[in-house]
Amino acid sequence: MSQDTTSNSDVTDGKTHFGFQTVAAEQKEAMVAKVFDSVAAKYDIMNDVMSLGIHRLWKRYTIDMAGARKGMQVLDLAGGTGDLTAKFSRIVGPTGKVVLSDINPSMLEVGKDKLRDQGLVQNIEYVEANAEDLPFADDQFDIVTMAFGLRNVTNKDNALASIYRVLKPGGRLLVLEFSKPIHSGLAKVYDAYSFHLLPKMGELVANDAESYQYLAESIRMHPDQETLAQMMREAGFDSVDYTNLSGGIVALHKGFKF
Amino acid sequence: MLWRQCLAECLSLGTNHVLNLEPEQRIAFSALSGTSLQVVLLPVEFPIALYFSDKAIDIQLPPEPLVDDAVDCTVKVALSALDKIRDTSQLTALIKADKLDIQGDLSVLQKLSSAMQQVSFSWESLLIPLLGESFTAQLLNFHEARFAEFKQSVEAVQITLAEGLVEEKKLIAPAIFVADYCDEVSQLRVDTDRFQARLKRFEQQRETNGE
Ligand SMILES: C[S@@+](CC[C@H](N)C(=O)[O-])C[C@H]1O[C@@H](n2cnc3c(N)ncnc32)[C@H](O)[C@@H]1O
Repeated sequence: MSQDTTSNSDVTDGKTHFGFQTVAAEQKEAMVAKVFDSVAAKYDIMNDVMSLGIHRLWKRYTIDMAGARKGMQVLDLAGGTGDLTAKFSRIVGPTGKVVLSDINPSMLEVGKDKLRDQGLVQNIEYVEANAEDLPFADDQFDIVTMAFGLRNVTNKDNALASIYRVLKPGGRLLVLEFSKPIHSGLAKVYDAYSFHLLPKMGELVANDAESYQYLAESIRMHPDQETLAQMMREAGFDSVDYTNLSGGIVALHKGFKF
Repeated sequence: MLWRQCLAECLSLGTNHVLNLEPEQRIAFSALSGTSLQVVLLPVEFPIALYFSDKAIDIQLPPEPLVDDAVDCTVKVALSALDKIRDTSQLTALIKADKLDIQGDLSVLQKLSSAMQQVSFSWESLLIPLLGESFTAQLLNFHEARFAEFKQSVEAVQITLAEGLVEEKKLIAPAIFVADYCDEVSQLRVDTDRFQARLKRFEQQRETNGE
């Protein structure tokens, strides 16, 4: 999983990557949208199947590190079906607010239904938005989280700058994302799993091997731990650090706006 | 590394599963909806955060105690007094004995105490919807018998070992291991006694229900 650490930019000469393919930058958004339109209905069950339920623990760890309290304003960006939103909604309580934001209306719709079924209505707002250009006021949120969303964004630098803008001074960003396994043995097993087993599971459970092929490829193309930390620093975040989870299969990056 | 999160997920799933099986029990917690409470177990300072909503209770085990204003109410309680906070009439006595400290909205703890008093968890109520009445009864009977056998075997092993230790002085284990072993066996005894008492209670309940 070698990364070009000298250049962090996702877009070069108007081109970017969509999994292993090189595509025109303006095409990527629509292609990603197609993937998530296609997986939305089965997204939650596939998450449990693919990760053997471990994604729940990664998300819990994110919540534990978020420092959320009652009354806070939280943005769950690229929040999809709202797993983090559900937890934040209970933590911030009736005096706080959680915005579940995603670029994809199908994912938001599944999320809205799920959260309503869980009786979570009063302090959640749903906003369809592109992370690169957030429609929120400056200095609005105490916490922004982005779980498994950043690698799908066309221009990550723009997204980080946009997040920085909407965070309150003192606020924090948490990025939970697939990353680079720290042991080569684990990397090999993980590669075999993601390139061979994952698309087959996608085919079996969601009848959609292609989307899960994209998932595996997009994970490979995502910046490694250090590169992402550097990108966050360049966007203005302070005290940036990260924690490897499950041997670096996933990493949680944290940064503050002071 | 993720053991806290794993434990919290299991606790949340288990609690909500039980509450969903018995809607009256969920109703008992409805007054708590929208509130949050942190229990910090002393002296180890182990925090358990409970977040209540209409349909579920989310349990988090943060790495360190949350600041007091992160939740509506923070209860610091000695492990030995944990069982007693169910009874609101004992709270003052516990505070005076330095076994309990409450910060924030006391009414949240009172609501939780009264909800806990209304909740009567039983293995039967959990198993009957899953396994059916007669199979549950058989299973509980079977377990009762197994527990009795298990307890006897533990006692037999304990006696044999104690005799062996006296006779085979050369092979004797360091005193600390023996003490540890005895502690574990006593704990096991306490646990089996508790299980047996519980099973007896289920048995009696079944009888009074006329089955
Ligand atoms: C893998 S899902 C993660 C959903 C959720 N956060 C979770 O952890 O379960 C990725 C989400 O990112 C969203 N997404 C992709 N590109 C985005 C963008 N530019 N802005 C906002 N959301 C985006 C997708 O629509 C999708 O819902």
